[in-house]
Amino acid sequence: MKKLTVSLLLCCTLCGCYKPADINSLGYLLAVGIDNGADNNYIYTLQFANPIAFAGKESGTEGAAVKSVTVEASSLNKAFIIASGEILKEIDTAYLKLIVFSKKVNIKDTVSMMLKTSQFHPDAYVAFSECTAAEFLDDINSPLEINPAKYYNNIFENLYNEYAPPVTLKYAGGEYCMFPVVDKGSNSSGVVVTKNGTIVIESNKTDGKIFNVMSGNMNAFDYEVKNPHSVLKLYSGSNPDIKLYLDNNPNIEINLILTGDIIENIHSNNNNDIIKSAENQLKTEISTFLNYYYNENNLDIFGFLELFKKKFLINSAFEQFNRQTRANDIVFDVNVDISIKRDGIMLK
Amino acid sequence: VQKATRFSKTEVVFVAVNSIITKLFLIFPATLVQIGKSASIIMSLYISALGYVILYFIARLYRSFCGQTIIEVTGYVFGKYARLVYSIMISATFIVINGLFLRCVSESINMSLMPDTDVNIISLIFIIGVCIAVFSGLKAIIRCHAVIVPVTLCVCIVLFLGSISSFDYNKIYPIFGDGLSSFALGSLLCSYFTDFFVIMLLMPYMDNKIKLRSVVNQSVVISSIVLIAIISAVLLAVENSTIIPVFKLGQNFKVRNYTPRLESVFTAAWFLSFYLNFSLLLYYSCKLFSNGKRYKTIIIPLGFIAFAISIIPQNIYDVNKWLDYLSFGRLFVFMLLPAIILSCANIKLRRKKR
Repeated sequence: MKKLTVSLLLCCTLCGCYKPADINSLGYLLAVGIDNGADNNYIYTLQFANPIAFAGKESGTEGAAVKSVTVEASSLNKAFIIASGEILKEIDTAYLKLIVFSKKVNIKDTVSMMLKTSQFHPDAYVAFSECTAAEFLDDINSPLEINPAKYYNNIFENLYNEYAPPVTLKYAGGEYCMFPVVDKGSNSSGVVVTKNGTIVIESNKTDGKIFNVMSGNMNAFDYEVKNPHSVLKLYSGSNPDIKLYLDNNPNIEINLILTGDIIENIHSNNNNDIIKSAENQLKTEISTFLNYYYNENNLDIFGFLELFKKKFLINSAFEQFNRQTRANDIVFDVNVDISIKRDGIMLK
Repeated sequence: VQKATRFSKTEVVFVAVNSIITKLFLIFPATLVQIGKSASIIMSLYISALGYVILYFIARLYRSFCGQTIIEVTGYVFGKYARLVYSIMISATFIVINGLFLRCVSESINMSLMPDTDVNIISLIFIIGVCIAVFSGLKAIIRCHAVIVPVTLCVCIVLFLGSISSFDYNKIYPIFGDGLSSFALGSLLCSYFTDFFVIMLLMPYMDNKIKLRSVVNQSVVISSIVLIAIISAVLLAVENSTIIPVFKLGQNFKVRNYTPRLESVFTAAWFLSFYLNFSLLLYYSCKLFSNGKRYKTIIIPLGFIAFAISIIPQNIYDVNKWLDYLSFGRLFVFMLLPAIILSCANIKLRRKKR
């Protein structure tokens, strides 16, 4: 009996040898571009890291840091099979950083498929491309960043780029979503809003910045005050304070509390003027933004109407509230409060 | 029972807690969140309270029978044929339920650790491992619980703390979900606590000084805390459509860029946890089925019956459906019948005393 037990235990140790994967036999997928193809197919551009080239660039030798493969297939998994045959490596999706869609693609099915499988990490960034996704990925050329994975992080993490809403795969499947738009040679050329995966509004990149300020995605950002002309560095410690009131129409009071430094001021000697002006300007911009998306286009991009759930005790009562059609009924009251920590160079 | 095979209170509590928390890593949270919706956290409190009341009632009834298994009590009240029938019922329920849970575990292992390996191969390797554990006996299985369960509890704490950053607190509203109807349906989910039944089988191995009530109290408190923590994390941080949400929770776990793909570590922990639970239940299935005599001869046949059951459902959604139907059976075999048997035993004992 003991011999049998030992033999069976030894059999279990053989599991480690099942389908071993050598590090050099894997193709590390960094980005996927998805364009519409013919006959309901998609054109997938799969961008792989070339680790040997990173090392080469760091030591001064030239070589492409990424290699792209473009295939046409009906699904992403089929594309992987074809691409795997082309690069002669097994595709590893653990390091996927970016999924780019061209504007004509409905992203709903692809995103929900990616969320359901464990292959794709939910923290991969999702963006739309002004040109085709393939063109964007082929044109990636960061002058100062050798590592493309880090380059994608820099674009979407809002450390250096305040115009791109950092949408990751886990949030991309929402009913309404604001995505950044990238283009050839440009990391942020605008934003788009999708409703159930289809683009309904395209807008400029300043909307992306206001979206980031309102959703608390940015810890710090530069803000240019028009009159008197000055530049502030504003810090938002937390998300805006939102108060909900429900009468006949939903009322939302938004209190945005910011601290900041005056980093450029030539025309005014009075800091209070600058602060008042900055508060009014930001308040107007946010009100215009909310009015455009909510009251004119009935798009609940921040999910404010979902917050009204706390006013109801059971789901059936909330359903009677008819959330889907109420975005244009919302009355907003926006308050911006800026306090200056340092006066900057002006008074020194 | 030899003195060497006596178990401490902590060991028994760990066994009970492990039998409960293994279910948390499977489809139980998905079922609870599907029924409770935004009221899932309140519902998990309600289920814990309901489970505690039932178990407390059973523990009170058990007071006069410390040191005897529920099977022995059945024999005492209804005779040897009833004892045999109840043993076979328990054994069959253990095998069917563990066969289905085996499929869930294999599917989650397939998803996270071994994507290229067939689910049935994973189940097969698992069942071989379980059979070996059962051959090594009850003492080895229980002692291993004392090592593995604290690790699994730590995993639960880490999972909860790690997912706090992605909590969407608005998901707890409307606070009562679908209202009374969902709470009525949710009452069935107290079948989650039926696995405490295993304590009633461990009674002869416990020190006489240990009171069943204190074991139940400690086990229910620990497992309720874990249940509420995991359900909160699943409700607030995971999308509703996920079938094994705790796996998704592990996938979302991220401490900046230092912990990529940590879900495989979590999967390994609950793999071990389920391994021990399955080993224990297979041990008792064999022991009860063979009436305590030469149980080792039927370990492999019963193990492979569980394996065969695991390959019947077409997919994990089918497993979920089957387990839903079986929750009535579990409530009947592991809660209702013991309550009836113990009530009758108490009545018989009182009559005898008179």
